[in-house]
Amino acid sequence: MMRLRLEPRESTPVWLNVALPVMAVTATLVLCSGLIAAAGAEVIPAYGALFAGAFGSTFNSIETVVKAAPLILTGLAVAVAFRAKFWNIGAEGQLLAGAMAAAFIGGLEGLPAWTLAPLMIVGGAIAGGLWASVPAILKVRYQVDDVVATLMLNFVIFFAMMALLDGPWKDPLSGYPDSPDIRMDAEFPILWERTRLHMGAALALVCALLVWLLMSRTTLGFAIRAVGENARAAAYAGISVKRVVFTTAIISGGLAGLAGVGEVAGMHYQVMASLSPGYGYTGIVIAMLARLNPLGVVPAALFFAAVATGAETMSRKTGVPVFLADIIQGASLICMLVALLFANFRVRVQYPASA
Amino acid sequence: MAIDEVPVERPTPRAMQKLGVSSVPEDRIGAGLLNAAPLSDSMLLTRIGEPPFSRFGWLNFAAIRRWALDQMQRFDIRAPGPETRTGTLSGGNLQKALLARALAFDPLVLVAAQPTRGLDVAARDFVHTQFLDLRGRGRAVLMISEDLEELFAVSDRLVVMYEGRLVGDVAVADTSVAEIGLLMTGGEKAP
Repeated sequence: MMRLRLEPRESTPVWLNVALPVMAVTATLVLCSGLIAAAGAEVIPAYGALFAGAFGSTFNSIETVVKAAPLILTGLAVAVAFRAKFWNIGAEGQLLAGAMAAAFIGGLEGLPAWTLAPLMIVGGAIAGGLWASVPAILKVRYQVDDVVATLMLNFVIFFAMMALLDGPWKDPLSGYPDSPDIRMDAEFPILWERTRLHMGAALALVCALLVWLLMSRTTLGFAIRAVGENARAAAYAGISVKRVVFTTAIISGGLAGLAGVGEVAGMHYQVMASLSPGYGYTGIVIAMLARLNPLGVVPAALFFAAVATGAETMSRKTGVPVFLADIIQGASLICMLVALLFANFRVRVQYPASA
Repeated sequence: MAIDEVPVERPTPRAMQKLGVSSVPEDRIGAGLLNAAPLSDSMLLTRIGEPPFSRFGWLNFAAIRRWALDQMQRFDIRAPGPETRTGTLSGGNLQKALLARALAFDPLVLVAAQPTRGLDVAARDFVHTQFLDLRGRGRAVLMISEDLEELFAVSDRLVVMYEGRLVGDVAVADTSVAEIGLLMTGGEKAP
């Protein structure tokens, strides 16, 4: 009888790294077509509407890119942290820290207008990094579990933010717990007239490139990868594991903080409860989908954003519930995890030796 | 403790390395190499921060690859190339990679635990020649081994440990396998 056997690969060919996500997405769409049929719609037109909603016009494409911007940054934040096995589930909270810093700096009177955007970017990154340094110190010094600490701190900062928005930081002109708007000249410039495409999207792309350079071309990136791969061997080889983990956490938090800066300075111009619909958590899935590769985070985030924007059009045109977007996103992660098997193993067909 | 008359205040792995001490860990996968990383990364784990492998924090891939290829040839490490995933190499080749890492930078002191485990006879002889060459140039080699034949073949001095204590310290010329065997099992040294 014929048998299938898995054989470890000596190295993963480059084309496979591109082909696997494509295969995973294809498999996802095939799997989810059953649900579309169950919802009483025709599969091909439904996916057509999904695609048209995401990329069918310049306006729709730009909406997808705008939605992808914070996801790219939280995806990068998680990808960097996970590489060092610092399990940062706290990008959501670090995003809020960055958003609050940006909204505060952007509201300061008396600063020259040209300093506002750079200060918001730097301040937001520092705030995110500082918020991430709390669980990093707890882990490095006191061996506190990073999953629990980063996750719990999301709630701490969210409710601290709400307390501020319901109290001293509440916009006196608003009936809702919102912060006052930032100054007009603090708003990120719009890159494409009459759309919402703001500088934050460009910032996200630049960050993806910088993080890729950091991880693949620098000694710090080497150390981060080494610590994540085998902390004991890295320590024996003279790498300070604690310092590397701490630095990684700061970089990760800073990237998540930038996601918050973009949302405040480019989209909402204020901080409010609904600022992030879970960008920090979605960043985890995106990082996994991208196999923690910083450049892979960009298409992964675009895919998630496209499914989210496209699902609304699909729902309007074919009556398929919008929630299918969540199912597609979830299924894509599972398909990607299965596809990963083929990155590390080769399937060999074995025939029994003939007698 | 002092290395070449430089006192060691805090013997961290990094400080020891700076003073010219290299080591071959006993647990080669767990404490030595990066299983899923390219072989060249595993082999340069200790030196990646130094020129020519990196400058101002930027990696020099050409230098890394060239060095790894050289060492693969010198130590006869059988792998398709420096980019081969470390974990797919055989145990003997992994051991050679660790030895290459420890020997390539001309250490003042080499601490090697079970250095020839998993090696064939030719590779073992090659490693012993390297150790003797270091010794000939006034360097120190501390070999930790359970292989008496090997210890007698390359050592000047043997120190025996039993139940965590030093129980014997003898010159190889003045002792015998029988005496060392006795010490190893907790027996008293013959008067």
